[in-house]
Amino acid sequence: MTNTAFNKIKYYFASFLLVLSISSCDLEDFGDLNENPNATTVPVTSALLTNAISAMGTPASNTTSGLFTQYFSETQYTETSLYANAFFAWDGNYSGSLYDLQNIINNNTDPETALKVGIYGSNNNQIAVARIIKAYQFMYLTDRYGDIPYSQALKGETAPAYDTQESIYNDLFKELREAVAQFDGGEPAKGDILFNGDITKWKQFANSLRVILALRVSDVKPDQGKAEVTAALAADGGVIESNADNAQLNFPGGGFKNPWFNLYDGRKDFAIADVIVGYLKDYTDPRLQAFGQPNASKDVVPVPYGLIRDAAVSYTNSHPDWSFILNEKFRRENSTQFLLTAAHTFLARAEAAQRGWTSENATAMYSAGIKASFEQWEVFTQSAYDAYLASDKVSLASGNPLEKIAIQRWLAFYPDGTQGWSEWRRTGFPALKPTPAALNTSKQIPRRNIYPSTEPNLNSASYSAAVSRIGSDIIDTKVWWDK
Amino acid sequence: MKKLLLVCACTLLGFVTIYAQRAIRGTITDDTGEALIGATVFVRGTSAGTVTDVDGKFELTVPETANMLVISYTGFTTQEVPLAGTTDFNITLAQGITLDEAVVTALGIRRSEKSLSYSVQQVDADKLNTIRQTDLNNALAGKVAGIQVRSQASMKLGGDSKVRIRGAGSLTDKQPLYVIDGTPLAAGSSDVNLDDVATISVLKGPNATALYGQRGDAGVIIITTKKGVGDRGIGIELNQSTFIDKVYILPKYQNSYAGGGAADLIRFQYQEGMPAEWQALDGKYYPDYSDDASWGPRMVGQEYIPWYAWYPGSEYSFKTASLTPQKDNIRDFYETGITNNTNINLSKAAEGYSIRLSLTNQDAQGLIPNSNLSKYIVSTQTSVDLGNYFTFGANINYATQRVRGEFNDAYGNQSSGSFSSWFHRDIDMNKLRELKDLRSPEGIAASWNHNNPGSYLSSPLDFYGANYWYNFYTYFDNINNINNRQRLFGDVNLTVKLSDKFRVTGFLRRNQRDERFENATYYLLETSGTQTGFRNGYSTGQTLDREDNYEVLATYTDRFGVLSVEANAGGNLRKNTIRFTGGASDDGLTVPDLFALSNSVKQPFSGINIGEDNDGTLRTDYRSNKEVRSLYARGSFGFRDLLYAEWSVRNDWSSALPDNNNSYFYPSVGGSFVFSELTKDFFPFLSYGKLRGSWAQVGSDLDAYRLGLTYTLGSDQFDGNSTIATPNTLVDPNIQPSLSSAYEGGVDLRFLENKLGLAVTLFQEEKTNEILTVQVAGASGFTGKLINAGKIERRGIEIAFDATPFTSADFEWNLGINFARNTSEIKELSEGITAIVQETGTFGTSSGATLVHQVGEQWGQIRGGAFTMLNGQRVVTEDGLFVPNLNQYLGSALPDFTGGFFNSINYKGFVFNFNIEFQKGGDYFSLSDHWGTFSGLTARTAGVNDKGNPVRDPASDGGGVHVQGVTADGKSVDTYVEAFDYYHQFRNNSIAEEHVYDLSFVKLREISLGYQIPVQALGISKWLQRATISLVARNPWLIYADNRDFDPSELGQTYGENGQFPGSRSIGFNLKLGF
Repeated sequence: MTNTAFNKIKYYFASFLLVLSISSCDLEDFGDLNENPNATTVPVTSALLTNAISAMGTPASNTTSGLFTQYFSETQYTETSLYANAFFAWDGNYSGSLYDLQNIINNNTDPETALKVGIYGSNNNQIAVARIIKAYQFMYLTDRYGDIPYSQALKGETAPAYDTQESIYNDLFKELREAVAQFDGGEPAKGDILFNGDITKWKQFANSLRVILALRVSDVKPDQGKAEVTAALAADGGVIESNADNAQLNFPGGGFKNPWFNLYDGRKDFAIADVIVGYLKDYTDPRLQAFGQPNASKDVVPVPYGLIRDAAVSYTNSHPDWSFILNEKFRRENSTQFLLTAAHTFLARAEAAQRGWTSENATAMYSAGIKASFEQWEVFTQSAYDAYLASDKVSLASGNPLEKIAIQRWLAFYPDGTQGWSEWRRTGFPALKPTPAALNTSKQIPRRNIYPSTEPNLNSASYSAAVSRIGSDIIDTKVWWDK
Repeated sequence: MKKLLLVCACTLLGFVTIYAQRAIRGTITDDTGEALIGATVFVRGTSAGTVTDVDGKFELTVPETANMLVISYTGFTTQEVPLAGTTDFNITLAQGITLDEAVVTALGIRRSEKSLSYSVQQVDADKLNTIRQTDLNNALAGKVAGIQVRSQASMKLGGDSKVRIRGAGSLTDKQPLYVIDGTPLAAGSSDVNLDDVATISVLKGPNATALYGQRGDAGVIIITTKKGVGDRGIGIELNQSTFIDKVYILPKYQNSYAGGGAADLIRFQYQEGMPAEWQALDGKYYPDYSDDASWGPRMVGQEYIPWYAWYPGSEYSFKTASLTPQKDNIRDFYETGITNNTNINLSKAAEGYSIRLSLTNQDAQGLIPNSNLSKYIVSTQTSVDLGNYFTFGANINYATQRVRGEFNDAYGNQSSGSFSSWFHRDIDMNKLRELKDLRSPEGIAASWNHNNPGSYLSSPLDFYGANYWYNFYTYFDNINNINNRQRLFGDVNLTVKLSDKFRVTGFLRRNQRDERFENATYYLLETSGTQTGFRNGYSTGQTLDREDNYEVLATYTDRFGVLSVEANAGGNLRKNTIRFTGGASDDGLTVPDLFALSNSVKQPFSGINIGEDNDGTLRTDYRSNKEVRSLYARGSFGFRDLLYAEWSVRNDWSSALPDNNNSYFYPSVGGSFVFSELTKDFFPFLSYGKLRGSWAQVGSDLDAYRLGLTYTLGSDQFDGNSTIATPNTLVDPNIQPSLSSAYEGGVDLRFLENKLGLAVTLFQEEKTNEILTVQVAGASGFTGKLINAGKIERRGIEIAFDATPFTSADFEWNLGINFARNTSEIKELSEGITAIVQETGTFGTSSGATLVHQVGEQWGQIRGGAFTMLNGQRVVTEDGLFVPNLNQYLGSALPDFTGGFFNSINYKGFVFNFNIEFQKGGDYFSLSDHWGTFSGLTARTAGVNDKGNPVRDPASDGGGVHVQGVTADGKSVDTYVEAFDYYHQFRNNSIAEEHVYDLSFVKLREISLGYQIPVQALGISKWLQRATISLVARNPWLIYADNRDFDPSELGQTYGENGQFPGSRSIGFNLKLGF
């Protein structure tokens, strides 16, 4: 090769390097190219709150718990009501509305963001509301599983330890107490589709929830239960005493539908069970017409509880008019769903009074609870109500008052299976019998849910510690308050 | 980086000059017209010599006395050319019979195999196109050591098969990068027409792929297309093949018991309010139609009321029939697929230009009713010399594809999802086909799975409506899913030739996918089902997915006496753009069968999950942009033909990484030692021997917009209140680029004039800080976390053996065997994370299986409920039911080794080829088996027990399943369990282990018998240059599988199968004519 060619190469290569150097001066600066045009990085806490409240109906419409407490029966695939091993995921609870609530609390607490999100209501009011809903959601979770991740949960910690149910209950009482006290005179939280910014109703909801929780510890910590009931009744705002103050979700339909509507939107897996219908019919309870779908002759046709598949299918085939859960008017896409009502609260107060925890009149609370429940379900007539109260099966005066209150609480919580199941586990009333076709080893009604199957994979050390503490991760293990 | 380029420049710039007396020049090409780069040209009897440049050209000054040029090139027959007469030589080298040849490496650089420090396996067109597959991956199966092709059932038209190179090197089951003529194909290889492919190079580890950087970390499949060649004839080639495709591998079903949940036929009692015609059936017996299991009565030809007798309007209305097994009903369902593949290509080349134009039409009638595919591919490769200094080139491929049909093969789909999971074994498929237009008087489509007659009294729909399943033919008539895709990929390039040894090429590359789907579900399905869940609906969406690459590559080759030098330096700017708009109707359509989003009952209509990011948000529109900038260089030095050393460096800057940490650098070095050069004189039967070794790193980034919590508004408002959900994926704020480091070493040996060849490669690779979203404990508040995940270590061995046992003038026999063994161990994950859930099947969290990566274990453990064991015996309850041991590891989803055997015999114009693929070890979970057993469909639910009695007979009558085991406290149990209870327990008590099977298989993948018509002997060679006709078959024989219910090479999921379509087998012919 000649020198000229050599010079040429040098020249071209130098130019090539020059081009590269020019282009490389800003190689690591991409400007705002990585800013997502489809989303925002600033959370709107009012929209988080709406989202969290819209999910409050989920725990109150848990069908598995409703099967265990024999409100419902399965019509075709009957394994759950035969107590087959079944795992239920909780990831959606924690990462769904619970974290949205935590996010509201975080953003209203962090001085860097508190001012910014203050436009969605005063920081205190937003935090207080979020704490109350959090307590409501955690009650359902711990009542179903027992010990669960709590104090280390919702912090981005990927291996949160499990807390004992006892410590969780202690904290729930504290949260509800502090939340009620935290409300200030500032703007109520925006996006409040439950009470539309009515702070008194939030306080009543929190105090009522505290009463429900207090009774649940009656067997394990009666003194604490008594103290909590007394404090809750005396707390600012009082408790829910009127159906007008109920915590209830008025679904708009469309994008947000009543969960009982969704249950039958394309499927018909569940019926009202013969067990609860037996009580309703036996008691001549007018709520029968509300609790199940009456057929053409206004009769509610339950499906027997705990049948094997073959029997269930042949039963529904031979009873084509079997009844869905709830009367159609409570099961439309825009129907109201009851979360915590005056009836629930009065009946809890009746039990507290009967236990001597308060000086309230047990019978008066009991009657008020039944009346509120009849009214809540739009079946109240004075004559039916009077006759109902007068019957030996209902009247406290005719004996076994704690059992009668327990049965009424079980009836009033319908169709909220988890509440009904918890009350049965605690009190043993009504006297439910396990299905003879039970698939579990003990053949007994489950006392808890098995931990999600993802936990041994993803949170194994915490899971193992919890399991060794509770004994065995099976459905027969009793939770702390269940003695 | 700039420093490195300077270093590189320095290496380029030392050379010597050669004095000479007479100048000659020329071009060396192979028989396809492809330039041979680096071919050695020397003058016999002198020291004068050179190597060809990047265009295959050489210039040389030779002594006046010289009389013969000797041209040699690895893999080609050495040729001698007399020097007399001309100074301009165009020489075509013939390919030698050897795998030791010029291979295409990263960035499309063709290199002598000798100089490579890592393993590259190249498959040429003839071996690739044994049977002229339409799917490129399937055509590679069994032909390359260390790749595992995971095909898909062929009835899934347009469904892409998957390839795993060297087992699993990544925590995600990442696919290799496909590169065609240098253009990366981000959306896979499915639009590449194999008729246009000259060679495929498989770059397996980081050592080979270092120059592709991050995108090549799962391996790179480099596709080089054919170029225009000069031809004696008119340069037209025609390829026509036709395949017929039939279902092959099906689960073993029982053929003794009819459908339903009731073990006895039920007596029909006519009741007031029922249709009057039903009186004809009064007192007759029917099976339980509504339960979709097959725990019904034994089929012995007894009189019964078939499902269709209840509907008026057919010749079978209100008539009984006899209840008989339908052994072949599932096979009868699937239609015969027909695939036509027609290609015509024109090719021309002469001094200064080459051009090739190829037109392809692929047309398939699917095995699923109403499914078809139509595809056209146009591709052209052009290269034109513009004077002495510039060469212009263009490679343009355009494909347009229209697929019609519904190919859902997940659990619960309305074909295989029924057949193997929930079905009645007494259903005659031909009756379903015949009666697909049968309707009730109300217009409800007739179904085999309607309800029992009592339900008529609550409403006609409650009786006539499909309970869970439609008549499948009615279903497929009332689903119209259309997918239209246009794909454009290719490049235009301009080469500036600065000298014979140095040139710079600029490329503009584009890979663009425009895809639009329109899915319609007809109103009839909504009005004809009670629990089927179908709504009159419409969804549509349009995606634009574009990748542009702007690339500059400088190439330098030279030879300084005994030292040869090659070097490249370049830069690349990559821009990725995604745009999506679409939506789906919700809650049905207001005007039946008016397929428009504005007709959705719920407004606003819903978004669609497009899978572009993993936050699960439904979208009606989505935009994303990403940019990666890269600089790189590589070089190699050769000493004689004996020693080679090479290196590469690359630096990437990615917009998707954090601003302060978006640059990552990775190098590679390697060398090879061709020791046969030293031994050839005293060890002549070793024709070629090479030792090679290399070390490389590869860095990687992530998708756009992953670095923070971004909140997307919910599409619905609650009474005027907007909703926002916190994203479920938490981001590690300290995300950094990930890095793989790999060592690779090997030996290549060829014996007896290349008649035998052996290549062995060992590798070890460590991937650290892989960026991925892992599932985390939900109690954290998040379900996923984007992390740099610890360390995964992969090691393995690949062995390729080939032989030409016999060759003569009219007989040639070639064979090849390859074998690979890989292990991938999870060494560390992230803090607080000891396991990653990679895949969760349907029912995976209850009774099915999940795929988990666990620290300390091999990649991909199948996890689910196991049997509880005590002293080697299964623990059972007193009743003989198994006690589950939940959440156990049930085996690895990766095979222990994979391999293939390729055989080719040419005899007097006859060509006989076949290839066998095999795989040993590994497990999979079968969801079809899980449900098929639960619902009494699988053969074993109707077997005979050790007393010789049917297991379905009551245990008290000598039936039942014999169970032996021990109770938890060690008491032995020996009893007979009712079949219904026995086969239900695996689902009820979550024992997935029952349904885990071995992945091992041996499979004849391809076989072909061809005949080359002797055009010369027939005297037609004037107008017909070549003609070959072949009989071919795809998947002709699954020689061995542990469980023959499914083809283990065609599993839809990593952990196994999820209710998927059966495997099929194709036979056909192929005609190839060259004019």
